[in-house]
Amino acid sequence: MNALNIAYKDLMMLLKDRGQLITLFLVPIGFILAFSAAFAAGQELEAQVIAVPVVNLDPGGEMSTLLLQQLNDDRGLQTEDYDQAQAAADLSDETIKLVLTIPSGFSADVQAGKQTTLRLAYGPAASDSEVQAVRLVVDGIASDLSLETQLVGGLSQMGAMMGDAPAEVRVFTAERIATQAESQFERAKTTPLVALSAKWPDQITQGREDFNPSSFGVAGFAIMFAFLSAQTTAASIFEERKEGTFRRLLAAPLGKWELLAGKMLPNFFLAILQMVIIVAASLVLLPLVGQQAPTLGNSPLGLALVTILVALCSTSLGILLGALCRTESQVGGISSVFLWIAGMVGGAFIPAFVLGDFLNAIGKVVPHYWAMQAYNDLMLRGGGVGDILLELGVLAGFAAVFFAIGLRRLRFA
Amino acid sequence: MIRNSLAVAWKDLLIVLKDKGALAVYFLMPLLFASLLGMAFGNAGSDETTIEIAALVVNQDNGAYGQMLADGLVGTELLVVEELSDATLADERVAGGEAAAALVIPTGFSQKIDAGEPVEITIIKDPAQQEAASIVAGITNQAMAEIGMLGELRFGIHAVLAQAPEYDQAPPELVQAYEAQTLGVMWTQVQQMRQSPVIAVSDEAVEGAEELQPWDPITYYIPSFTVAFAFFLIGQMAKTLLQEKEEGTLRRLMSSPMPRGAVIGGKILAYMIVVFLQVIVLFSAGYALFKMPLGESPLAFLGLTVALALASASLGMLLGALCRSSKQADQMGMVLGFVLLALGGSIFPLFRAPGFMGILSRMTPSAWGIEGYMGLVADGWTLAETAPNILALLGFAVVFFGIAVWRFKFQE
Repeated sequence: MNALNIAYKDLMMLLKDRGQLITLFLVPIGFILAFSAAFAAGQELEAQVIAVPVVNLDPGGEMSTLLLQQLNDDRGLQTEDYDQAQAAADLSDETIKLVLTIPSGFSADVQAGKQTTLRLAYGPAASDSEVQAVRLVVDGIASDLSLETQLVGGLSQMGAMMGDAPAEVRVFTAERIATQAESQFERAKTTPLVALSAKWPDQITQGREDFNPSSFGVAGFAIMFAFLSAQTTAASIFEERKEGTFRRLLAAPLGKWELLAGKMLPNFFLAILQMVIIVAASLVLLPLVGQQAPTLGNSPLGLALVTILVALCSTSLGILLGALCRTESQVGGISSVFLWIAGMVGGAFIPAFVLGDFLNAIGKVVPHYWAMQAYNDLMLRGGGVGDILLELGVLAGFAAVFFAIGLRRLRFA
Repeated sequence: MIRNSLAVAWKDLLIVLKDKGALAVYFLMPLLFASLLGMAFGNAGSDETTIEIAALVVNQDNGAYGQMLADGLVGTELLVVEELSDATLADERVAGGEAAAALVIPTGFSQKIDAGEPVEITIIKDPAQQEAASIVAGITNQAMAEIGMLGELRFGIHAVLAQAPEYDQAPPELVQAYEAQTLGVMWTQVQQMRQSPVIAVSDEAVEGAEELQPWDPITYYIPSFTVAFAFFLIGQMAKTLLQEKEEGTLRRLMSSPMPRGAVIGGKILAYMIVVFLQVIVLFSAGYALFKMPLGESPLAFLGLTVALALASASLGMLLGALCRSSKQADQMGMVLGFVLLALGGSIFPLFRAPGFMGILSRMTPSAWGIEGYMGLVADGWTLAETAPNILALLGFAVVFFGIAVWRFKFQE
């Protein structure tokens, strides 16, 4: 009962503080929106068709026509015909960024097996990534075309070397080779000999044809901000300690644990509310900025359990921070640095594997990592409570350890 | 007036520098973010990569091609490959998140390739590790292209040989030996052809264009987080301004024989110095730890930094003028800091995006700051090239400062 009174007092204090509510709810939502909008813009930027001015000095040639056709063939490029002089002028006054030149006699040279060079000139306006992107496509097409013509040439040569043999044993005739090669190249264009097909694990998709996990994780942000709110708990303990109200409360017929439980309860509920609002807002708002809405999986019970444990873990961490911090700057600045880093190495922010194995190993000692694993199992892999027992246990363990150390080290006055 | 301003500036500077928490947030945090992201998305600072992705391979094929593909994947540095014999087990383990992806090479893979029949390899991806799984898919595609080429060649040779009239009568060993020999010759030729393709591609810079450098992520992340955290100062600045008002020290300062301008000027100067220190610390760290270039124009660098410091300090003033309490200023500063971080392009260079997002991004001072520093360190911009960014930041500073002066009340 006493604990509830204290909880009520703290909750009232929090709800009256509009700025605090903004920090707890609006900052995360704004952050997720901005982040995902940036993410969507990035994808759009990558999917953009790049216009490539082309100076064709081999107009109407068989190979140059083929080359142009392949360049425009759904590879993110769109060629535009340019006059040579015009292209040079536009390049230097920065109206265009780059120019691809097909040399004269291109088709004849390629067919004769004589080396010829496609020139990609770029001007001051071009960026490295654009030049690289165009170069990659041109390289790919050039090497395929080269190989095709050279192979046919090579085989024909072999046939020609056997030209002295009697007609019955001349196996590799130019005609046979050409027909065979053409039929294979033709087939390879629509169905490559070896292809890769991707699928989600059967174990996950069984009986769920509509399985379509989102690639943009909201869970990480929810975890990140839920743990950042440990600072709210820490700050409220610090304040009461500093102003001496803690000592006064202790003079009342109250147990130490009652006092702490009262401190934890409102922050615990706020952390849960915060996560619920973050996910709910993402469901509604993400589609508006061009992102797929997050998938929630099919275990509401599992989600509830993880969320409760994350909130518990965060509030106990708040008690621990409140107990250990000696100055305001430790509660504020230093704790934020610590919590952001924990979120980063715990994989709440960027995919864990990009950090390398050393930081990944460190990541496993922060609760963020385990919370992330549990949410992934539920939301992306469609698992149930049975799949996250280990994670739930570890999170409960973190909460217990944080609380135990916090309780031991907390000096009330 | 100047002496008075300096005295106020010194006092405010000491308040910031004595606060260890603030120092951690303004100096340590951006450094950590920039280093972590720089290391994660590039090879900054280290020569070898430590990234490892767990993948499974189930090879159900008993021929040469399946083995070749499996060996190719096992030999890839980026992947830690485990070979399994059971596809169901692999499916389960990917579903459990133990590996990012599993590749299943089907039975009869090699026979089908030999017969010229298209064949598919299946990649099972973990939905919770989609980025890692697509890297596995990319590596597999590369390995497969090689096998596809070899397969096509072999099938072609076989098909041409089979058209020879005496093919049916020839002893099978002889035919096999002949096919293998021809394939060997052709494969060697293919390798040579790749060395000297008949169609070569060259790229060249026209006169006036810079030689292109491969992009180093650190030349983005150091500028982006320096600018982002320069704007995280505004909450602190507005807070101290309002605290002085709340505690009455501002009125006391006013009643001293000191012009009002000196008090405000001193505050602005103090926070400008903090921005300068941030820039110095972060760019020096970038230079020392990641060999990040510092550009070719110290003058442009100085100009941009002055403009950034002015924009940040005047935005802090504006926030102080608009907020009602120090607490509100602190929290709004935090919100604004995050908005500028995301919208200004510190996570992704949003100001380069096409359309609405790009325009929105350019409406923040951060975008102009980040772009300017990136231009300086990555592209060696000159003063003239940096001028638009310096002017844009100064423009923001003038607008912020103007509104701040108009709205600020020294007394309630």
